[in-house]
Amino acid sequence: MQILFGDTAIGHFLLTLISFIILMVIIKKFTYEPMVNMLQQRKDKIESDLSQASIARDVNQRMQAESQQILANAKIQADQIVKDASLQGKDLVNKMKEQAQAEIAESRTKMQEELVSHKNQLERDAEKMVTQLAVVIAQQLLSENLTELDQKRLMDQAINRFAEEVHQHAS
Amino acid sequence: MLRKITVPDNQFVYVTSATELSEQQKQYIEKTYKDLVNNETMEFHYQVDSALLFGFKLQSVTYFYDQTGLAYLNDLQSELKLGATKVEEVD
Repeated sequence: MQILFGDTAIGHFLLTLISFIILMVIIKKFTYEPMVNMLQQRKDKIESDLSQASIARDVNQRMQAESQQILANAKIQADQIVKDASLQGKDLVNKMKEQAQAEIAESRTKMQEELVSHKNQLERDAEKMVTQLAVVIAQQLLSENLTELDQKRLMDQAINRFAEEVHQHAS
Repeated sequence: MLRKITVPDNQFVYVTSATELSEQQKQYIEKTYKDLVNNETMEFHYQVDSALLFGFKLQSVTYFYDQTGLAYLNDLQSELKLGATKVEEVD
């Protein structure tokens, strides 16, 4: 270089420029490109990771949404089941109440019929007892109050009636 | 009521009265009964039962006649029972 340009400023400048270019080429070749490559790889990896993370986040969000939907559906179903069970319980209680009322009414009717039957039977028994009692009282009164004269008169009547019946029978 | 019983004739007649019958009453009963059966050889047996209240009853194997107070009361009781039964049927 010194031969070409001598010990001049432009020579120095050109020498420095060439050295710088050579240095830059060396640096580019052995330092910059690997570093750029490494950074590019790093960038690609980060972008890939970010993409996967985004996908994972989307999946996660979908799953969360699905979970919430499932929970919401489950809550609706649970509410419906509770509501149905409550209605069924009320229906069952109403049916049991109606059945109990019907049984009570039937039992009451039966008891009333039995009471009426017992009452009638008691009345019939009372009538029979009164009849028997009246006969006994009449018997007692007759045995105590008939005088000899009454006895004779009644005996004559009985004998006369006997004679009449005999005559009627014979004729 | 005089009822004829369909069994063979017998010579015995039993008369039960509430009080002692006089001879005249006995004779009248015997004569009446003998006229009925056309048999003069009947043998009458008499007894007293105050439970009959009044009147008399006569019993032979052929006839039974009851004209006593007890029979009246029994008839009365039967009629009252019959009346009560008819009332129940109407109810």
